[in-house]
Amino acid sequence: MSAPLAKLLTPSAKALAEALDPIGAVPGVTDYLFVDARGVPVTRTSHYGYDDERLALATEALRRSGIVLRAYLGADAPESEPLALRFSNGWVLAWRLGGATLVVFGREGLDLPTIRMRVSILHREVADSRRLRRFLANGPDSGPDWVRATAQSDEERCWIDTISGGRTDG
Amino acid sequence: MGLVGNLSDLNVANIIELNCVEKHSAQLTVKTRSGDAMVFFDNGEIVHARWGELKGTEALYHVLRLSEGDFHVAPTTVPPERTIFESWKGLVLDGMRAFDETRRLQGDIAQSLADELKGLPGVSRLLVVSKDGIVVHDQGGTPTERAYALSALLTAQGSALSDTLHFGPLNYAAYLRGREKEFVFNCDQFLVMLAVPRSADIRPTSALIETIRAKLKASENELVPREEADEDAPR
Repeated sequence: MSAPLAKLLTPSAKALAEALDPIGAVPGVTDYLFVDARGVPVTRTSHYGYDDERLALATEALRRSGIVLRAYLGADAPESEPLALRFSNGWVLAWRLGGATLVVFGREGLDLPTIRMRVSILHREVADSRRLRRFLANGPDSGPDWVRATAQSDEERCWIDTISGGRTDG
Repeated sequence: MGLVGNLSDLNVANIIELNCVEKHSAQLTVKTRSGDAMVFFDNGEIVHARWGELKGTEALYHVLRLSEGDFHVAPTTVPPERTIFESWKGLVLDGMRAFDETRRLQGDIAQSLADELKGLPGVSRLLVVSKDGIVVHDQGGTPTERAYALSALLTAQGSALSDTLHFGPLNYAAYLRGREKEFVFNCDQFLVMLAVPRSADIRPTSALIETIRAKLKASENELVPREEADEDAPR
C-alpha cells in the first residue's frame, strides 16, 4: 500500500489494504487495484505497474463485466472465484467482494494457486469482520441497470438487456 | 448532396449500386478500425478504391465485405487516380462471391471445431456462434441468446483491455458456474463457450482452439488488409 494513500484510509479500508498487501508480492503480479462499490479506488499495489489512468480504465471495464456476469449467473454465482481473462501475454483476474471489486494484473507465469490462496484468506477476513463487511456493503452496489444506463454503445446495451432480461429463463 | 449513415443500415453493395445507377461522381468513405476505406465513382463507374496499403480491385473486395462502420458519400469531381477499369456490376458480383466463399470456408472450419470440441471428455455445454449471431453448434442448457450476449460482451471487454494493457490478444475468459467452469474463447469470427468440470485441464482445448484460430485467420487474411490482420499483434 502506498504511504500517502494509507493516510487517507479509514480503519476499515486500512485493514483491507493490509490484508491485500501480500498479493502484490505474489510472483507474476504486476499490479492490483481494489475499488469500492462506487468504483472509487481503496488501495493498489505499492510497485505501480500501470499509470493511474490505464489502471482505472481496465478496472472499470472489469467491474462492469463482473456486475453483468453476476446477473447472468444468478444463484450460480460463486462467492470467491474470479472472472479470469487469459491473454497471450498475461492475466487479468477480477473478484467481487460484496459490492467491491479486486482486480489483479499478472504477466506470463503468474502464480495462480498462491493468488487464489491469498484471496480466499481475504474472503475469510471479510467474512469474520462485521466492520469490513459493512465497509464493503457501503455505497450503492451498482447492478446491471447501472451498467446498462452507462453502456458505451447500443450494442453493449443490447447485450446487457439480453443477459439480465433473460434472468428468469435460466 | 452527401449521404451519411452506418453500414448496418445500408450495405456497401447497395451504396455502390445507388451511385452507379444514378451516374454519380462521388467519394464513399467508410470509417474502420484500420483507417478510412474509400471508393471513388466517376460518372457512375467505380474508378478507384483504397484501404490501408491496398488499392484497386483488391481494396474494393475488402470494402465490400464490411458490415459495420459509419460512412459518408460526398460529391467529388476528380478522383486522385484511376486503378479500376472493370464494370461495377462484375466487380460487385465477384467481390460478393469471394466473400461468400470465405464465409463458407470459415463456417466449415467452425463446424469441424465444434465436432472436435463436443468429443472432448467432460464438455457438458458447447456453443459455437459466429460474431454476427449465426449458431454453428448449440448443446446444453444455457439459453442461447443469453450465452451469446455474455460471450460477446466478455470478448469485447477483453479486446478493449488488451488494447489498454498491451497483453496481446484475448485467449479466453473463464468463470465458475455451479459445479463447472465456463470458458469463452475468442476465435476470430466465432465465439466458443464451453462448460467443463472445475478440475478439467483446459490446455488441450485451448491448444485445439489455437490451431483452429490460426486456420480461420489464414482464411481471413486472404481478404483482409494487412493493417487489420496485424491489429491483434502484441504491441
